[in-house]
Amino acid sequence: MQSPQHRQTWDLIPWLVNGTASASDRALAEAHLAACTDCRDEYAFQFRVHAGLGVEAGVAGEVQPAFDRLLERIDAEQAAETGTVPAARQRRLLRGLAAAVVVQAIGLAALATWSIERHRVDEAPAYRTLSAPEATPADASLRFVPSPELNVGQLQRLLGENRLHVVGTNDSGTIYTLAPVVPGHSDPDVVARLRAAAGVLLVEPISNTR
Amino acid sequence: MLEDGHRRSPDRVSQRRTDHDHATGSATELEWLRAIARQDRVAFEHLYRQYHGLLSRFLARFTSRRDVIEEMVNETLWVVWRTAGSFRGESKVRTWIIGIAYRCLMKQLRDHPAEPTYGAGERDQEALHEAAPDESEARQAELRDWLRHGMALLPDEQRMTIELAYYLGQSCEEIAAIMNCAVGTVKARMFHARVRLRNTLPELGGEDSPPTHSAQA
Repeated sequence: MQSPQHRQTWDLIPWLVNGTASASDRALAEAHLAACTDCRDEYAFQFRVHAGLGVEAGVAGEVQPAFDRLLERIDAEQAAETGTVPAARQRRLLRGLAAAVVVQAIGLAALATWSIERHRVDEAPAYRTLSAPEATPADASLRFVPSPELNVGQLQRLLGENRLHVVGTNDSGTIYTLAPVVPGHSDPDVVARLRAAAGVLLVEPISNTR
Repeated sequence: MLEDGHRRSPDRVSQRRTDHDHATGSATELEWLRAIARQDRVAFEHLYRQYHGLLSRFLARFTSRRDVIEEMVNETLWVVWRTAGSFRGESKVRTWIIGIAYRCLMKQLRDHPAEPTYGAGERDQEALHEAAPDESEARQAELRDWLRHGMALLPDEQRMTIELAYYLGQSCEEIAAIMNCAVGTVKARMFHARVRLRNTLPELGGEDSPPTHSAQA
């Protein structure tokens, strides 16, 4: 039957081999090892295992690149936690933003040029002369400007007597476009009659009546 | 009496541990960790450089993929950066960091069980053979081969226990802290791992004794 010292020593052998056994454990084991062949054999076996495992594999990679990668990870995580952008990523972002601003500026310039050119072609003048062509109803025949003293009743009577009606006016309501009440009916004396009437400043036929 | 070389095993890993655990070094690491808790990046870089090689070599025992190794090293030290303020000094800084690396490694082994291969990659093994010109070194290379195959047959927890003890030189109590288990569990895992290795590596037991014998009569 094995003694308690044998089992204790057997269990202590790895820690004797790697040098971490306490002084009291070491003393106990040494006393038993001196008298036990099995334990000495096991000690020798474990010594060989220990020596065999002590060989360096030599696999450690370069420290600095590995450390830099870890710092990048830490930066990224801290940025995510605080809502800020890490320095390296911030530089990349700034470069991207600068490029975007340049592209945007070029686009805006092109758009502005195109818009100006289009305006030059399409934009109508902001003013119009009386002789300028205007959008008039198809049967409009006269442009009529009453004096401010001509009241509505007098205007209605004047138009009625000459079988005319108002088909258009300018924005300020000072110039009227008149047309015959009966479409296509033209009275060659109507201009003279209107010009002779009181309260009329201007009467002129519309040329190229459509 | 065990000879001095056995009190602190003479291989490079244990020697690193002896130097590393010097009181001044531990105090410095604790200062770094406190500074890291205040988001001090200079201290973090010191700690990173201190542990990059150690963690890389340790994790390389379980996978030959260098990208995975770097990923796990950075994951470990990222956790250190994030949780430095939670370190309460219940263990050494080194033990605490290795514990984080251990959890990263176990997650990797769980998520990608087919990827990791034990120990150095094939090219490293071939290089070791080629670099063994004489008989003694050839036998060492053979020993490493046997161990590589024997360790590959161990369950992850047992293999990890052996590596933490023999490669990183951790004590039984430190391994319990790293693996977040009872000291008795560590002893049981170590016991079963040794029995399995004994059964799969009989050649190691039948050869010459180590250079300095274990005990005197």
